[in-house]
Amino acid sequence: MKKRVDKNNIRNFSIIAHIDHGKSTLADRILQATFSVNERDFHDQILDDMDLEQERGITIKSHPVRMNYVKENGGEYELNLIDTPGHVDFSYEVSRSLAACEGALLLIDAAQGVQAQTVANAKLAMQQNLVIIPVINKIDLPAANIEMCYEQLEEILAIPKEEVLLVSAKDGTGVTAVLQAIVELIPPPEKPYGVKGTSALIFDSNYNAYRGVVNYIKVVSGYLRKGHKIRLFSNDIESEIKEVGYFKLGMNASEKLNEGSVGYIIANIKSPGDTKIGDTLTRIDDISSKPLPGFKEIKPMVFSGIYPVDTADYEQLKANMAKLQLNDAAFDYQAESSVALGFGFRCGFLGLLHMEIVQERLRREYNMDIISTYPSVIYYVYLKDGKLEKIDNPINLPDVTKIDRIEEPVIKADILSPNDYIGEVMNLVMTKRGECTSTESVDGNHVMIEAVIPLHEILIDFHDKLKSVTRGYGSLDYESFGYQKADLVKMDILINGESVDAFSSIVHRDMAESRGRQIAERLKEVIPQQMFQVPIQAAVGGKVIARETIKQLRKNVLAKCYGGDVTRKRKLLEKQKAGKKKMKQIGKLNVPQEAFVEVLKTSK
Amino acid sequence: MKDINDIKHLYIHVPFCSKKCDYCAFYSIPTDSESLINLFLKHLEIEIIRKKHLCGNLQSIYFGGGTPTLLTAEKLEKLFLLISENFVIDPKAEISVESNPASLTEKKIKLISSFSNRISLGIQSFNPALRTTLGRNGDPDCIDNIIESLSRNNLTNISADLIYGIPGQTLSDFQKDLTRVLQLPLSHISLYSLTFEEGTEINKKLNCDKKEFEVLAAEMWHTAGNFLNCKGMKRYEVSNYAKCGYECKHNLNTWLGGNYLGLGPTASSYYNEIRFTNPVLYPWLKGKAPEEDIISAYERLIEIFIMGLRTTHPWSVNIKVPGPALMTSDYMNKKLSLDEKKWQKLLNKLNYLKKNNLLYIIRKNNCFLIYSTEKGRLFWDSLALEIMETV
Repeated sequence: MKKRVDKNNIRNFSIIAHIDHGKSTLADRILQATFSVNERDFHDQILDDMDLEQERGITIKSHPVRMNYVKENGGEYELNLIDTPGHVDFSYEVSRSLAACEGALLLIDAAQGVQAQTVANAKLAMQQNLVIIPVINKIDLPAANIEMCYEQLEEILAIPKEEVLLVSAKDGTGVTAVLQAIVELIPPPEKPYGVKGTSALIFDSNYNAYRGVVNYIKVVSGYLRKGHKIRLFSNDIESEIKEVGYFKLGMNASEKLNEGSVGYIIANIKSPGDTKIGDTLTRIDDISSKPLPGFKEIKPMVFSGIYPVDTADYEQLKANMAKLQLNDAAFDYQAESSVALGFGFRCGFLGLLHMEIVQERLRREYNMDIISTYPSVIYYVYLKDGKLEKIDNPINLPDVTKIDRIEEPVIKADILSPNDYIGEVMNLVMTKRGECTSTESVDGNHVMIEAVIPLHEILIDFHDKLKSVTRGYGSLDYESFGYQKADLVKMDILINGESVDAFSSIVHRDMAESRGRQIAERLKEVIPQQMFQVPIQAAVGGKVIARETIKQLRKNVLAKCYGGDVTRKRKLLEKQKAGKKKMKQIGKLNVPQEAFVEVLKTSK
Repeated sequence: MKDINDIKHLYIHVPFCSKKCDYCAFYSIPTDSESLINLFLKHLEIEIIRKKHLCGNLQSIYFGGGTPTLLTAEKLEKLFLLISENFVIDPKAEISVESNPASLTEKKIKLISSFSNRISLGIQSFNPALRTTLGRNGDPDCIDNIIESLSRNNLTNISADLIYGIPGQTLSDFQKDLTRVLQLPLSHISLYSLTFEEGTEINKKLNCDKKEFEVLAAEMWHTAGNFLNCKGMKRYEVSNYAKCGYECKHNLNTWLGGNYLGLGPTASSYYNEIRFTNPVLYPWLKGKAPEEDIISAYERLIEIFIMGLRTTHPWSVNIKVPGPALMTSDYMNKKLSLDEKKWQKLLNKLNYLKKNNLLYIIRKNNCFLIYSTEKGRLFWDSLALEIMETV
């Protein structure tokens, strides 16, 4: 299709929703309705590239797609759907994707209603001055409660009932109305006031093994074509465009990307780290005076060690980490070593989900046997001599006598809960050392609780606990809220008298004992009995605060071992030998991998 | 095929019993079907004719099962004839027959005494409640009459099997069993710690953590060692005790790496550096070939080495430098040779095990004498695993 669509007929939009509210399914229907994909290529959730995305039902990386839509009364439109990540870990990426749009479909599950992330995402979209088209999805569900949704939209987001579209993405009901609303209500892209020269927003990037770094951009002003010399605002890196194009299901090279268009550029930028999401790109021959607003450097919030089970796999793990980083600029790593685990890497992630995804990808896509350590945040440790040390690994915590105070990162959480569970939620916030700062009734049945909670407490199981105390109805969104002083201590775990650095963690003094007891109990269950008694201790500053003992194995011998038993026994021993190889040796004993997994869990 | 005509130890598996005991994981079929037993004898004869050339002057014969004495006197006689007519048996050979005392009759005892010189009595326990737990049939008090009959027939090399570590069994229960069994004129005792094998009735019956029984079982193992030692019976293998000179030659040959030929369903053989395992009854009747377990020479050497450590017999390793280390057992005249590098690796591990009190290593002239400690035998599985890791 060579025909050029007028800028006034371009519509750039996103779909924003709480997780599992049916975003990918609606995207699929829109693709089908605009004939952007033929039936042969169609499979559910087309835009979710990675196996992991499809399996977990979440979108990790946004993947834009251009569609052509002919309105009933004539008029041909170019629709650019920019799919956004659906998890709080990736809220900055969401905000940058939204910055490339003029409108957003706000999707709500008819049975679940407005959730914390619905509110958070809607607010993000409103901040960007996007036109919001509210859509209630899954109206075919028996549990659908459309009236409730109307009421919540009205009361929480001031969206009148009359504006709301009703859709079942599953069976296609209402999808045409959605398309009409997109072209009628969302304005075409417009050059912002005062912007001179060519500028484009980089809202995502990807690494292609054959093509190099692919930047996903929106041309905000001017135009781009092959051969243009460009510059990146954040780091002044200059480069030359090798290819421009737009996305269908894959990449389609084109001659030029015009003002208002969404597409990609490939330039001779070597390192994926050089292009940063949210950065502005300009043409050297048509230079823009200032960057587009809203750029932030993404910094990892959560840290964890990743080690190969077999120390011989270190080099391979290193190579695979590098490959993974090419596709995930938010993932950060550097070499470290542990007494217990040998050589490995300290890795930084945006959040816990991001951490799990990276670990899963290493295991599945790269076939690595890995052990990960207890996640940590960055602590600010103020020393008595006035120096500040930023600590992301408990083993690096300076000696207590040198520490003046420790500060930990906190987040501001918006928790949406049915009124019935308000007590339980506040109680949960308290047990997680948080403080409720305000509560606001949203629709007569729900409250929005604002709380400040240490990030570390959110990391492990806050979300699961919230779901469990609210019977699945509570939801959570959060953002960083600076640092706060806290009474934190380093807790060591000693197995058979030896401190295992990989099990150390920084915990609040009041929680050390219960946490220590939990870990000791878990380890007792997974570490096999030995010929000697094995004490498992949790200690703070050399003082033991919890202890479990793995009883001594009393005997371990096959009673009858005659002719045919020998082969059977040898095969059994071979199997044990292979199993032992996968264990980590700590002092005199071998600790199975499960131990490292168990320590990560806090509750059953 | 250097081992042909050289096998000196023969095992016959009779895969029938009157009732399967609840703890038993050995291959046996509860039946007394005459036709099935006839079929078994017929095919045993075929197997004998096919394989007898492998054997030389037999030093030991062992009839195991199942319950070989389940066979009627007539069939038993036929079985013995098959052996005596087809093999050369050394006059000093040890010929053992396993039995369930409940299956023995005066007539069978007469027959057994005329052909064999060693009998093993599967008593398991004298305690009626514990026998119920084990699912073992028969009245153990018939044993006195049997002993009397055996001595009348001059069969004096008698062994008894007991099981310990039975759920519900106290240390004093066990001591009573031991005391009772020692009233019999025995030359040998096998004491087996109850093993909860997968698929056995007792494993299904007792749906609990079996580890708790191990604590007391270990206690019983120590008790038995001391008690029997006082009575002149030395533990010479993990589960076996004997008066001096009455160690079971047949089993020692297996543990210390000798060749042996096994006949009958599921019987295993070792020769030509291969372990063969016969199929179960029906495929065996159809003539299905045994399964072969072929392992490298070094793996086999390690296997023999660890099997030897179940016994009290030391391995003697000659370390005359340079050249390979030569390993022999005082019991066998076979020499096992391993190159210097492998020996060093093995020796490092052995020294580690010595440090953990699982092994004795004693320097004597140009030799190291290596044998397991009491603890080493009680933790033989752990010991074996450690040594196997050097392969």
